[in-house]
Amino acid sequence: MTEPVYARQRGLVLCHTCGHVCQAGEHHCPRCHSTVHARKPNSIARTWALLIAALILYIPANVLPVMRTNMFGNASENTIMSGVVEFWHGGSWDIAMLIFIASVVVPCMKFLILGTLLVTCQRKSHWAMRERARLYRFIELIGYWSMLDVLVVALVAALVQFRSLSSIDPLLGIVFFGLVVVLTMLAAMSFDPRLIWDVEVEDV
Amino acid sequence: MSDRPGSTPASPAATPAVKTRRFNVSLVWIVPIIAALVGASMLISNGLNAGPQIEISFETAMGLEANKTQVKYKNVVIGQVTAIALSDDRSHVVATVDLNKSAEGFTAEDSVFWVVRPRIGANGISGVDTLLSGAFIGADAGSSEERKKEFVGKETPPAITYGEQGKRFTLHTEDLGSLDIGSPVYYRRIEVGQVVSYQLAEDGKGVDVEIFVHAPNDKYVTTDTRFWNASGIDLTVGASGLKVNTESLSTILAGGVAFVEPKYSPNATPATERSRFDLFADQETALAPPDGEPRYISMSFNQSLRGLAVNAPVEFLGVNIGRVVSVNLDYDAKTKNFPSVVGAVIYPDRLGKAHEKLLKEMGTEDDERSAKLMSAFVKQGLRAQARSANLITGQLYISLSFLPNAAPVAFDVAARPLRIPTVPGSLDKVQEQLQGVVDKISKLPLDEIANNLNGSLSEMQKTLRQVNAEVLPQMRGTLQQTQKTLAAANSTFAEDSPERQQLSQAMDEVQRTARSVRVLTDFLSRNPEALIRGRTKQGEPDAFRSPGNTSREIQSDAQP
Amino acid sequence: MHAHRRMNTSSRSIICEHCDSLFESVPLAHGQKAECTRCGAVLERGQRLSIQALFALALTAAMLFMLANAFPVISISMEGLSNQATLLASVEALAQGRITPMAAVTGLTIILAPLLQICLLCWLLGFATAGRAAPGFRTCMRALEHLRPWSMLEVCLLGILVAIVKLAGMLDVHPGIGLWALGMVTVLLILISGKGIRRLWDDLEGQLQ
Repeated sequence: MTEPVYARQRGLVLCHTCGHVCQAGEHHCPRCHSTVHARKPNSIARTWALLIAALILYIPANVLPVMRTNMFGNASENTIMSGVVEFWHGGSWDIAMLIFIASVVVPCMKFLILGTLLVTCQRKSHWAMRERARLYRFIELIGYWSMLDVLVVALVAALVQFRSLSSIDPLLGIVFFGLVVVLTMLAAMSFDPRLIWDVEVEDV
Repeated sequence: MSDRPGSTPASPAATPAVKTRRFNVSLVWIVPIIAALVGASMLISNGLNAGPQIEISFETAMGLEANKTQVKYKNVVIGQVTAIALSDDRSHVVATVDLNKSAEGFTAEDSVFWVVRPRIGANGISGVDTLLSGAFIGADAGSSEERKKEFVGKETPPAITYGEQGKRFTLHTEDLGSLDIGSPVYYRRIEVGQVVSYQLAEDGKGVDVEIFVHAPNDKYVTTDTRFWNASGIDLTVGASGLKVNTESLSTILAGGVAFVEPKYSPNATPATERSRFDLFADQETALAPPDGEPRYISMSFNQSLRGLAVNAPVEFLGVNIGRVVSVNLDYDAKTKNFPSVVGAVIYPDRLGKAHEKLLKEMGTEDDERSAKLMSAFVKQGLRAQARSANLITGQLYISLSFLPNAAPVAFDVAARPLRIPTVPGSLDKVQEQLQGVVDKISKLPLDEIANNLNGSLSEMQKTLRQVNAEVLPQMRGTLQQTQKTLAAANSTFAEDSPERQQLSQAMDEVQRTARSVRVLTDFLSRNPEALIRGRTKQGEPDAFRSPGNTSREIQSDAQP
Repeated sequence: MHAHRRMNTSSRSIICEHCDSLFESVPLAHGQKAECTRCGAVLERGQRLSIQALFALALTAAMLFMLANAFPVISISMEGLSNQATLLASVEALAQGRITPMAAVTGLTIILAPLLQICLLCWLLGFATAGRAAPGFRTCMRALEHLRPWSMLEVCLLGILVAIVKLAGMLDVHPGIGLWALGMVTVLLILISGKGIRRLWDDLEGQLQ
């Protein structure tokens, strides 16, 4: 199967905003007038920075409680993991799995995959390039589902507000968790997957 | 590009006529049209269901929340508060209420609105369920035909709501005492109504209290009915002794009014609405038959009247016919004495039948004839005495009685108030009695008693010599035995005896038990729910709370 | 169907944004998609709906979005006490103290971004139905591109479902009208706000100043 030619080799650049094929020297896309970059600027550095920041914030996000439940005077604070465990023990194991996947599995996978991608790109590795591209598309797809927990806390806190009888309040942990989600999304957006394939071009 | 299998028709097919759609409108437009219809129908149904909107002003918005607080009538939700705002002059709070369509009647001009919060009032605690569910606005529909949009809310629930059957009456009294709005009204110790309002009388010399008696008991209020203030505990220490009287527990707390028709009331017609009555201070004064005309008398005593108080009773042959109104000192220049002058008021009507018969004898009762009657009595021996009512408290009362051997006294018929002659009271009598006792003692045969005594004494001497010789040695042996027993007992109770130690150990145990009970009661007073829920981590006594950075401390920071 | 390499650059070209490979654009029918042969990313999808249909759906989404925000999405009741929450109320619930940044983020993802998307789409598609490029076409199209990753209505739907399940154990939970409207808005937005909007660039190229 003949491999398609690289646009770079032809002196053509993709405009990310409108999909127009521009000439390599152009700074602005003739169609949509937005700035044209051959590769996302500073992609590896920015992605590393955002990823490490997200990693650091992930610790308080899991350690600090995200929600305080006040039921008939009995206050209990829940972290993400304790909420999952509570669901599991309560019998709704499907919700427990859902929240576990959305709040723990997905961010961890994002950390791992982005880290792997960054490392392999920096080392200009030829290893499993098609699979790595697929991995990148995967985390792009699932990235935003981690916001699930934030939305659940927001909804539940808005509903259960019966003052003395029972009330649910969000706590500081949810800020850190939301920031982790946002930062990982930004990290995924700032990583340029074309870097995976650039090793071929440079070789050539 | 993939190859497509070709098909060669046998003969060229005819070209079909191509028709393009006239209006290039695809069927997909049905979707937004449906959405628009659905949205519009929802908005319209919302708008149709909206009832009238009114504004109610309250003094404070405590417990009220926009879009949450509901308006209820007989526990049915008839509306909701949609907005709360300060009035322009910041003097009160205006709550905008959206009523249900079915609650149209509540916009009548005389509708009443009030906030139901937990209250401790004269009838007890009400509205406790609002602690859980939040305060709500109570409403009472009016019956007027006119509609109003702005209402002034009451701060307290009205004592009675429209539609309650019964009658209102006005009671006049000197001061309010412990009555309050909501104080109960009793008839034969059953609560039949309550105090609705009170205000100063027009001339400022009393208080008009308005009460409401529920139907059907309002028919027991007749024109003769006597009302009295049944508040608190009636405690009287008087000449007749100690009396305790109370209506019910709630009257002790909240005051109350009681009424009953007097037994001798001739005809009982139910009183009309808003009749006026007098409120007496207690049951006795209320039910006492009318006293009739008072008559004033004065008496002059030559003794100390310590213990005679104003309002002490004046009795005539044991019947209370009046009371003392004044006790003063007078100076008699002739005898250089300070007699005490006592003024009293008597009600001859209290003598009942006796008074009626006297009236028949005298004809009409007027001043002159009463004076003449009194002079006749004095000639017969009517004297006033200050007698001791109570030996413990030393109280005195005035007693009018006929004394057989009284010295005759001139009676001034024209003096007003009538002067009743007096004789010394009970204390002087005691002196006489003592004198009598001393006389009796002096008549005793003392010489004979002394001789007899001598003989007995010599007999005793002989007996004693006998005792010395025989009985005493035996007694000595017994005494030694007793000594030994005492020594043994001593050792048992000595400082370091095992019994003493056991005793002190037992005392220590008791002390420890008392201490732990105290800790338990302290803990319970701080966490009463522990009785039901048991001890939770947060409820542990102070001594066991571990210091350090627990998540609870972060909780105290993150609280909004 | 795969696109083959062609040296002819006169026909429209596409560059794969994941691996920078050059391709020739091939017309696609509904249900077909063009994939990159090197990395497997999707280059283009065949469009089923006409511009007019997209516009109708955008209008529908606008109306439904207003319903979804005006009416509560969940209402709960317990022992006579009741409460209900609209989307805005949920955002406000996070706006306390130090948690306020999350309220901003949540507000963006479930209310602001979808709202802007719908408005821009109605604007652009309305003019496009008439065959014209809307005023500010470029700005609107660029804004749409930037908004796309931040519109998270599907997560919101799933979150509501999880919240319903979580509360159903303790209280009586009733899905509100807003929930149904929200579900339909989500579906509609998925249909109209994907990368397919880029066809407007091709369709209206001649009209741009």
